[in-house]
Amino acid sequence: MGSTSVSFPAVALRSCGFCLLAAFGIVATAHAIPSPDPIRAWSCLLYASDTARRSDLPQRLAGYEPRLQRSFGFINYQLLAQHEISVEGVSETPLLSAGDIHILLSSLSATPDGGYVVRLLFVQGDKQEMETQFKVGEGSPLFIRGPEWRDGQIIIVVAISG
Amino acid sequence: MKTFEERFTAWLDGVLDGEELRCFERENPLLIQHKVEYLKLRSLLRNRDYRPVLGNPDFFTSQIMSEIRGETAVGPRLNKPSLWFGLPRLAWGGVGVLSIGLALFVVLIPRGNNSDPRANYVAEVLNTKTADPKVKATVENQKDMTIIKLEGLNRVPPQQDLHH
Repeated sequence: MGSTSVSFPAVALRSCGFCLLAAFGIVATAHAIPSPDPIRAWSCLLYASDTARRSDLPQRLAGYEPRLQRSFGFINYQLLAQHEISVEGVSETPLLSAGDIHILLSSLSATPDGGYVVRLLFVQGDKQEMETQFKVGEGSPLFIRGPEWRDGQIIIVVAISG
Repeated sequence: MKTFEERFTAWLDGVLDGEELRCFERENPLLIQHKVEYLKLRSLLRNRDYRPVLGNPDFFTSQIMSEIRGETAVGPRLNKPSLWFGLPRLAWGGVGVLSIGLALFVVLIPRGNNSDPRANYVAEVLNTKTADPKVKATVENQKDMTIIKLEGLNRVPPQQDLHH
């Protein structure tokens, strides 16, 4: 009498459908999971003043001038120094030094949501002025209004990126 | 009481006798006239050599096999998958699932706008500590800027070069 076996084209089609779904899942996962790039810590020193010179902001702070003017009250912002390091096994690593001003990275760890928890030391001369712990998102800068210098003020900026 | 067929067969075979014979012949007078023909017919039926030879002895067997073959051929045709616009339903199902997956991928996987610094800005001060009691630290949280304001710091000498 007749058999009930499934024809080869139907089996092949089902296999193709499952393979397509599996391939899509792999591609989507590969795009969703970020690649493990090394963490980099960046810092800069800005001189905020009311002099007539044009602002000279680093590329990472492009577009921040209006907000800096609104928050700190100064018209002009000049880049004094900037430095970036690759973070590996942090333990009080100097991040930026300019004159008597030193920024040290005390600890840094990544959070599951893509941010970073950072512990920072601000040292002026040989005195530790401030220790702070903060959480930042990828590339989001944290601003520290530092000491006065000449006709303006020192602004310290720190940002972390992966 | 014997049936008519039993008595007739016994009468043809000659085993009916006595009162039964007289009674049967009285009830069926016409059968006596045709007894010779009945005996001839019985002889023909019992003679195996007289059976006619059929030209197609397997006629009925071949008819049955043809019907079986016909039903078998129809069976697989009934299981043929239906087609929509030339593609099997399974293929359309795969296309549909793939489309839904791609749509979900586009909608759910975030793609940040790195050109705008205000997009996805996250900066939160967890704690701040100053060593000098005359130095005070306050945190100002704005939508796209977080500032730690230190007050009471010593002024940096103006002759000091902070360029690096």
